[in-house]
Amino acid sequence: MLGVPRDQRTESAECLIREGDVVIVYERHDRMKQATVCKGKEFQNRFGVFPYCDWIGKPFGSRVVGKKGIGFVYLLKPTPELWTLVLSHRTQILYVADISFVVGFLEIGPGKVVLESGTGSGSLTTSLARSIAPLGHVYSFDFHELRAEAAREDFKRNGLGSLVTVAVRDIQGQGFPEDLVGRADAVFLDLPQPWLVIPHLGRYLEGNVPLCSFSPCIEQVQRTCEALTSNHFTDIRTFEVLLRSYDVRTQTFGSLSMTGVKEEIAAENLSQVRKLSGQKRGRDGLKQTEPLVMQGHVLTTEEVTNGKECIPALSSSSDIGLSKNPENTGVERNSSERIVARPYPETRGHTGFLTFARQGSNLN
Amino acid sequence: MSENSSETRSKRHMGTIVIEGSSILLDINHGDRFTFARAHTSSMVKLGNVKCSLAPLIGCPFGSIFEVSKDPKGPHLVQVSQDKEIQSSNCNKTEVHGVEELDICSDRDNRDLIDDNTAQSLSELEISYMRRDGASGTKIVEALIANSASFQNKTTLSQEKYKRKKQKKHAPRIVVRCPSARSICEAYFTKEPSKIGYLRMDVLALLLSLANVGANADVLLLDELGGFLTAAVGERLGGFGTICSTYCASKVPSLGMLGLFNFTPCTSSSIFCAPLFELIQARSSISTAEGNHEVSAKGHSSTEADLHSTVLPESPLTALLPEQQTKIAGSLLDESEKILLVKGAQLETRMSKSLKASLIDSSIGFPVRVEMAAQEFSCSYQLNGEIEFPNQCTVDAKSQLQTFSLETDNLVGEGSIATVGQLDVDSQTHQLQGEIKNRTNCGFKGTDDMVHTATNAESKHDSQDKSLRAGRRASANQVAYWGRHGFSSLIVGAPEMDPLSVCKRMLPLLSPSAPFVIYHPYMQPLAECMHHLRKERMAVNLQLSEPWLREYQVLPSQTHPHMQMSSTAGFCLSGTRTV
Repeated sequence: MLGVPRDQRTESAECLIREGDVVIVYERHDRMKQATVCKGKEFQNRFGVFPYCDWIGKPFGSRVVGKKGIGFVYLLKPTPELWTLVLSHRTQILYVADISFVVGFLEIGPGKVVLESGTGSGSLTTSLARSIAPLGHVYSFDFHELRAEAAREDFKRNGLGSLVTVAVRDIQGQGFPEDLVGRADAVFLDLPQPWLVIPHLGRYLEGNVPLCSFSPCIEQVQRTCEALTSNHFTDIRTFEVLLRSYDVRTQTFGSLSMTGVKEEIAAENLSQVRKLSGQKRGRDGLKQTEPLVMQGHVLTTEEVTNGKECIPALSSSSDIGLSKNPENTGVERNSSERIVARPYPETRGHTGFLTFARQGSNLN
Repeated sequence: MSENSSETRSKRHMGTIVIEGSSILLDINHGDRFTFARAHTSSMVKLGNVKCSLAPLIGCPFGSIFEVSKDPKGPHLVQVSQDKEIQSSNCNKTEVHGVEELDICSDRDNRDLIDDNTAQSLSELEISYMRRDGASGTKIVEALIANSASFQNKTTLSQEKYKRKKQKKHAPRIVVRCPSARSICEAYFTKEPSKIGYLRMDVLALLLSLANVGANADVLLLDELGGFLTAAVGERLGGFGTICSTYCASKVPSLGMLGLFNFTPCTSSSIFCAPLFELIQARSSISTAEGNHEVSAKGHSSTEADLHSTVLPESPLTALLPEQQTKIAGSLLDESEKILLVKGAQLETRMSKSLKASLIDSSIGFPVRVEMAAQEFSCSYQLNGEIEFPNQCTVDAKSQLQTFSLETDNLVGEGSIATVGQLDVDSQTHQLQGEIKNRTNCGFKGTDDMVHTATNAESKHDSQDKSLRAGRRASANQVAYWGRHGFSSLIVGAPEMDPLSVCKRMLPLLSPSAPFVIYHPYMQPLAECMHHLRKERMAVNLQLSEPWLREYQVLPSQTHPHMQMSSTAGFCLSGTRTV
């Protein structure tokens, strides 16, 4: 998963898929899975059957077709961001908005040592490992033995084994291990009751070391901040981060003529109109359209293909605001089509609050 | 296990105490004002009405708090203890102790409070006398409270707010912070967002994650945000890997921001520049399997000439000979752009030592305005104290007195002038000679915010090895390597470029399955780009996102989001390149 120093790179290792590699299988928008390449076995999904041996030797980023030419997927190289979207959820995980903000605010970079509790499913841990490579280290703790083991296996499979140490420990009850005092450059807590640990964190945070605590509930945040204040922490700040995703599609828009009558789509565009209304594909690889509306009612496919007679010519293209795109070949796109974007109706409303703080510095 | 496991933090990292000569960020009054400065014994900062030396800051840990202390020798900064600081104000929030929780339902409120400025019996004159007599800021605040008729009737909350307000005015405090991508980003976003293209700190963090910026990456950047993106990527790579900040032929990247970061030579040496056409050439020569993969960086092929046709001077006067070109400072500009034309003679741009020495210690690439022979044009002040002139800079060899002013556009408001000097052209040697005099003793004139502190000390960076300077031109071999292997990711921060056009030219430069992310202040261009990338199947996992950030005030019975927030900070289009 991680970058390799130049002198150790080989063309094949970097670009080509090999036996045993972890591959991100991109099926379509918002649908990806992880797979480990194993000669002789197959990857199956709703689109088709894909023998792994077909993948070996192909470069990452390739589009591969299934058995008998049925179905296709893209094979992507794993990155921490993609991994977050395909890992198996043993617990609730952090997503890229929170992860990126935490890494940025805690100023995590190469060579740093990060303490994390709890490991959970390893979503944040993977990104932390990427950020501290190659000389830093992540000490991650989880009180659940099986989950810790599953996380360890994931890290090993992704080539992060030497950068992450997962230990089974109840940080809330026992605090961090004694031998990590004075070695951390950042501490991350994702605990149900972080205020229990905060009074004991002072020694681990000496020297302007930043701390981050993630809590879904505002009551947890309040108690955490109270504990931080009474333990002489400073720069206490609480944030919320979210990502709003946009749905991009094409749509034709009606316009009004001089007399206030809704203009119809020109006859010469009718063939495209037929083509358009028949297409309702997925969002990933191919365009899609809204149903066509003419004279106040939605055209059925039948009406379009039969060439409903009330289709006068357009008065002028400028009336309906053509987007002038010189790249447009004119085959797939109706000239009255526009590219539009709006947020998806359903979106993530909340993941958790991120509270940052630093141990106050002592007078010299 | 990390091989550093036995070292303590302070030995391993530079980011714990203030080192002499390093760049620091001064947080004045908890976010009211941000200033960047160099930690020199001669550096000064303006606090309220007084100027103080920054010398006491050197050697102190980051996060240390200082306030002004009156002294017979003059005002100077003293460190204050953390506890005292927390008592008075903690990050602009009201410090309310547990028992005060009941204040919300207390019997005090503001129904009888009349706001007509008559409550304070201490006059302005009396306050100034107190100050003159050496009273500390805290004493003044206490006096103001004692002389306020309405103070006792205020709610505890109001009292705290009042105290804090007076403290900010009369006893300002400085917190010294380590400049990191995040803190610099926040400082600029709060005070002068246009300088970094309105890039908010969460958006910056998102770009770095989506582009998989990590050790041993080869990151391609189209950075038109003053070099800030480049610097942030540089910080994340920490010297492991390479960064290519590319530019279209007519525009040279301004990498002024790099000086604000305290980069080690290792990190600096990983940051390169290369013109886009070179990268495209190198890449396409691989794909068309043509013979010679080596791209000459100095050669003036016909393609280059075409692209430079708008940049080369119109005048029939010839360009400088190559040997003279080497005397011209810096390598950020393309070779053919470093042409200095003179009527009948040619100028060397080496400056006399006195000129160099008195120039302000600043980062590379500060825009410089030079007026010569009644002409004015912008140049670039380089880290090693030399000035790069652009093309079409004609000077009459015999003309005299010129104004040379440094305009630190990057940090200060428009049109500010820091130093004024005189330049003469030596008719024999055709050298520029002259002296720079500081117009002001310290600091730049300009807006109140973001004042850069000047120092008269000779620039420590004069001695920095040119071969390690951040943003130097990539060698032909380097370009060829990138052409062969492709870049591992792409980040685009170019608000004035069409994203689709950028994608079409730059996505082929990436290795297969490389992630890319484009930041743009407007959504529609990104939506159009996304549509076309999908249609042409150039990328998968396309996502058009708008980051959202909100900060909270968390206090007992007073928890709520901040009253002000940033409504928008641009949009990101991310995806993965397919073969």
